[in-house]
Amino acid sequence: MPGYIVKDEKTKNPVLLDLRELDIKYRIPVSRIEKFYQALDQGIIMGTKCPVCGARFFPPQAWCSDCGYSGEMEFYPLDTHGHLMTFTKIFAKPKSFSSFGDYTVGIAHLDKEDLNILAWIDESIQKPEVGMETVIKVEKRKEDGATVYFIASP
Amino acid sequence: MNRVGIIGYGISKFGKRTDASMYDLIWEAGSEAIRSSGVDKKDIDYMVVSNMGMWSSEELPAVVAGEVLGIKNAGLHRVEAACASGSSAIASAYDAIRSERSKIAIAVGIEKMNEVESETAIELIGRAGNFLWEYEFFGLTFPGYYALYATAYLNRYSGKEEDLALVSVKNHHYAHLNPIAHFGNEITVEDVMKSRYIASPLKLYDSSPITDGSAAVIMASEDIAKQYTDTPIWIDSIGSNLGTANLSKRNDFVHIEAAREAASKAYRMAKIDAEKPYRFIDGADVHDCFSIAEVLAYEDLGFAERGRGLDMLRNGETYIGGKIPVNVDGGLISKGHPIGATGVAMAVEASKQLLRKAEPGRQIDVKNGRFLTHNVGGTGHYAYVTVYSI
Repeated sequence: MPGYIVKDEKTKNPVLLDLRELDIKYRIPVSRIEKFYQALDQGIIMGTKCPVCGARFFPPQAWCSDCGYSGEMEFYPLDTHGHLMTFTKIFAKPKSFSSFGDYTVGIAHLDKEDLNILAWIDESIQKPEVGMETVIKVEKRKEDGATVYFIASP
Repeated sequence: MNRVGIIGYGISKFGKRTDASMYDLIWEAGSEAIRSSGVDKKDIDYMVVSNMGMWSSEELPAVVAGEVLGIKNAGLHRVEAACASGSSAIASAYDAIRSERSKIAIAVGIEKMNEVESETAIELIGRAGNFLWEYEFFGLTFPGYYALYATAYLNRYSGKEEDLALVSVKNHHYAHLNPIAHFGNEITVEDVMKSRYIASPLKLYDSSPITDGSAAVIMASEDIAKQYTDTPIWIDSIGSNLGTANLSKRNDFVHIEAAREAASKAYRMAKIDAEKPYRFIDGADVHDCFSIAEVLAYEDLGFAERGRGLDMLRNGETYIGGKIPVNVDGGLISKGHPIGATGVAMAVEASKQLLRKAEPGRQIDVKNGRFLTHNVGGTGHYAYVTVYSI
């Protein structure tokens, strides 16, 4: 039998073990929301506002899905005070997060903006509860050094 | 009116099919569908294949399916609506026939998920939603998305994890009577509660498995259908709706708006009273990729009032003999959820039930002659509600 034909561990059925391997890393253009990342680096979370109809967006976007305006959107710092809508602790992790410990993801409602944000819940919240008061904080994540925003205790 | 009917169906064994390639699975379901319909494959003029892909090596599964089944003179395309891909394939074939572009069509659903290891499958399906804002930095998984719903729902309506476990207990019961099901074992609430957390509050037994499988149906216009069978399974209505890519853009996490809207459209078209739909249909297959999803489905479909979905489970109302039997094929949790095949498998189940060909112990009482399927793609990103009749 050629070497690439192997037995499945459980069933012992023969399977062809692919000799080709694919490693994908996407390059995602962000030029129209570059201001968001510049502000994030300063610890500020920006949303966008439509200068025509006033619609607010998070995640930030460079056009207005509500009224159809496609000119310059206004980037503005979000008032991040709000409350926790829901949360979950992820135990079965995806391959690219397998080196992380179990992490808790939540969705917070920003009360003054009437927008929601999905993010990890940081260590300032040991026991998350639906309805608890929250803010959004920017931190350098220790696991991968990435600058990211977290749902945190005020 | 030129109705559209299903005149043949086939389904493969679901499971971790290390014995069968994508080609073999398509053959198992597709050849059976063609044989059971009695049509000559030369007369099939339209073919649609539903598949999510990514985890399987063949990039163009639709052309693979055409070649495997020996279909040569048909228009062909592939459709993707995440976990509702199969229902979108049914919708596509229906549209082709209704518009008279096709007389006899085949819809094939196929998913070969176990060509990669579980961690990679979790990675690939977790990316389905909004990649940049919900996956890239936060690694949300498919169970994780539904767990966000579960936390919010249990909190709002004072439910317990033990209540959710009842979905899995019921669906495993029926799966053990269904020979094609991924799992063949009955389980208890205690088994569910003892299983490990995948994404809290959802546990292993609250979750559908990573499944390989295929399903296929032959569909035809009314005049043609009647040449092949006295009992076509008619498609009375298809309601579909989209949901936001970002979960965070939803207003609440205690219902799936896309599914509610899809149901409303399907009921309107089929002239079903949306207040009491269970009086018009004999049974339903709903999208229980996770236990919480079945509870949301009860309410989004109007089987239960808002916040009363868990009561249906506590009272056994969705077993055969109850208010409305749901997922008596084992559902996605126990029959399995080969993503692109699921919606077509639901059409197969609707056909079997309405023709009274379900296996002993899991045949519903056919009184109204109508069966409903509810197929949700992603986490309410797509939704299809289809009403079948005999």
